[in-house]
Amino acid sequence: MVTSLHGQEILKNIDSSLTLLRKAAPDTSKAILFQKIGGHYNVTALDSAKAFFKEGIQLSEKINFPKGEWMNLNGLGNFHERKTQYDSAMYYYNNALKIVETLQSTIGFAIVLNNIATIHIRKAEFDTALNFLFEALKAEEKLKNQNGIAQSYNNIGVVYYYTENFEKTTFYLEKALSIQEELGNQDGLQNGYNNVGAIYDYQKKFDEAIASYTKALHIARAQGDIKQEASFLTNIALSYSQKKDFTQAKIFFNKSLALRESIKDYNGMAHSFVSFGQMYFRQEKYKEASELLVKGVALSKEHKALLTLREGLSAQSEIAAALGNHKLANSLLYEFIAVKDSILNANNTKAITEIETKYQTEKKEKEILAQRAKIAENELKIKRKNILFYGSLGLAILLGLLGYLFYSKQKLKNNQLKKESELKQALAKIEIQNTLQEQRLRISRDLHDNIGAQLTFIISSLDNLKFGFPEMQEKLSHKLSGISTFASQTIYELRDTIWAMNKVDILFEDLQSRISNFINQAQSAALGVQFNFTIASSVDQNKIFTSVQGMNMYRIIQEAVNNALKYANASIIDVHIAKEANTYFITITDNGKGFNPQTIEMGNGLLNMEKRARDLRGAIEINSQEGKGTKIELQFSENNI
Amino acid sequence: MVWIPISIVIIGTIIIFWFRYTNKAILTENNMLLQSIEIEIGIHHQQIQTRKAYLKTYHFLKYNLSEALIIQPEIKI
Repeated sequence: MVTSLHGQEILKNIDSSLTLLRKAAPDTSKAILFQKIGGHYNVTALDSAKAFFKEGIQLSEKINFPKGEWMNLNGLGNFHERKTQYDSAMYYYNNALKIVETLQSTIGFAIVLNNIATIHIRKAEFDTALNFLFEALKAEEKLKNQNGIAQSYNNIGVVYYYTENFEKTTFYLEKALSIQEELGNQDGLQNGYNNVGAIYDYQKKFDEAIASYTKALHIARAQGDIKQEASFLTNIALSYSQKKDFTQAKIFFNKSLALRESIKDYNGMAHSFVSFGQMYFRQEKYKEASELLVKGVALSKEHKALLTLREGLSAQSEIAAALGNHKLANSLLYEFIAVKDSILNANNTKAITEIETKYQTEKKEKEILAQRAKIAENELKIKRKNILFYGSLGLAILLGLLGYLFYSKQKLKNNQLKKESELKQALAKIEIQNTLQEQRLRISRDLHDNIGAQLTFIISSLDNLKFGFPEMQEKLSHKLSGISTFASQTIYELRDTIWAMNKVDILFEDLQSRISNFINQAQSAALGVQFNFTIASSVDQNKIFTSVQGMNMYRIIQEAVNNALKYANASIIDVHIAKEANTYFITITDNGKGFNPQTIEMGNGLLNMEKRARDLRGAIEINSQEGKGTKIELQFSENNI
Repeated sequence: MVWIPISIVIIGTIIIFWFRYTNKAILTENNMLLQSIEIEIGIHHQQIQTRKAYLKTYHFLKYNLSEALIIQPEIKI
């Protein structure tokens, strides 16, 4: 069974649609509504449909709405198709096709082409039908309209069925049914079940065929599609007939004929009469068979139903032969062959094959193009992925580089800050040191200038006193001289102290130089005396003493040498400095007259030496015997300094 | 695809040069600062050395302390 599109949809609530139509303004919505209501009546009350389509066409022309115009023209074509007025149907379909081509509407193109193809199928022009169907299929595939694709497959399958290519019939019908089941499309499903039933019939699986037809019948009844219902009833009757269940077959044929007469479906009636007649022929009821076949053949001829005519003529020829009327049988047989040839001539078959090949080639080309597009798309995806990957990698490298450079910069800054901080600390330290030293020096200078000057004044006053009173008592004069000497000694000590306070340290080498200098001066003053100044190799020349220590060591040597020169009348004076372990030894020896330490009273010089030795945290030992010289030994530990 | 490594190299080079330029600027500025501090330290050191040199001239026999205690008026106390 072939199906037309967009001209036979059932509306769930026709009354409200009609109300809406009456109230609607004359615009595009109203034109579409005309088409929908017409489509509804195409299925449920065929005679009512035409007026709606006509009004829809007029309104669309008036408001210049081409879409509404082609949809209503298509519906009107469908109306005539159902009325088996195929030329009129073709006229309206062609008009709809022109508009669709102008609009370049793919969906319209698919629908109208499919409908044109159904007319060609009904007229047994299968090659032309197939051509249109494949064009429609391409359009539907372009739209990815699954319902349209299924309809096209279905109709292509039907064409193959009529041209007795059952392998391809099965192939296309199964594809169509599979899509319709997936979509749950009732219209499509009823056609699918009907067509599958036809295949079962061909395979002589009559029970399966009846079951499939019955499914289609239920859907048609549910939709109120009388024409389809009658068609399915005939098909069920045919299956029962072939199954030789003639009682059931008769019931179904009669039901079908009644319905077809009620809707004046002449093609359908022809088909029912011929099929019914064939049943009686199988039962060898030739009279009943002939009556029905005559009616069927006449209707077929009148309405150009070639397929039905072919079946009818074949049955009539066989009846004539069975009745022994060979002349009539031959005549009918020739007529049958002519009709059959017109349906299945070699050119048709070739054209169909060519169309199929053309479609398959185009399909393959499309598939190749799609494949190429897919490959290109994949390549693009890979390229994008690569770009993303390498881009990310590059970004990571750049970020890494940036991080490293920031780290290096920070490190450099830290190093510079560290250096800066160290130098600033050193500057602060040396600045404080310098300032303190300078401050100390200035205070020292003040001390020297003030106290020194005052002591000098005292000494000068004492000297003036002595000169001013020449007759003063000797004891008083001696006392004044003592005070003057003491004041002078205080000045010297004050100077030494001030110097030592400012001078932080003294190198042994410097000290040695000063001692040598002193001995040389002493040598110059006492030419008859031999001076020996020696230093042991154990003494480190680079040893640093504090200035106080250096001064004490120097003054002890100075005092000892002065005593030797002044009191001992020595001819040889030795000064020796040595170091053992951590202890320094300074020895001043002379070969003078010596003295007895037990009897002699210690003077200022000796007391000063002892005091200085204590300051060095050392000890001084004075050994002397009358006539045997004197030995003064100072020792102090390096660790105690 | 070639543009990716080329772009990375160009951007990387620009970044490296920029960092080198800024680092050099930091180094120069810091070196100038350090140099000025070093000069100040040097001045202080010189003053201390001068003071030491004068103090060294103190003769233990002549007691010439006024020659050894020389004030440096440029030092602000």
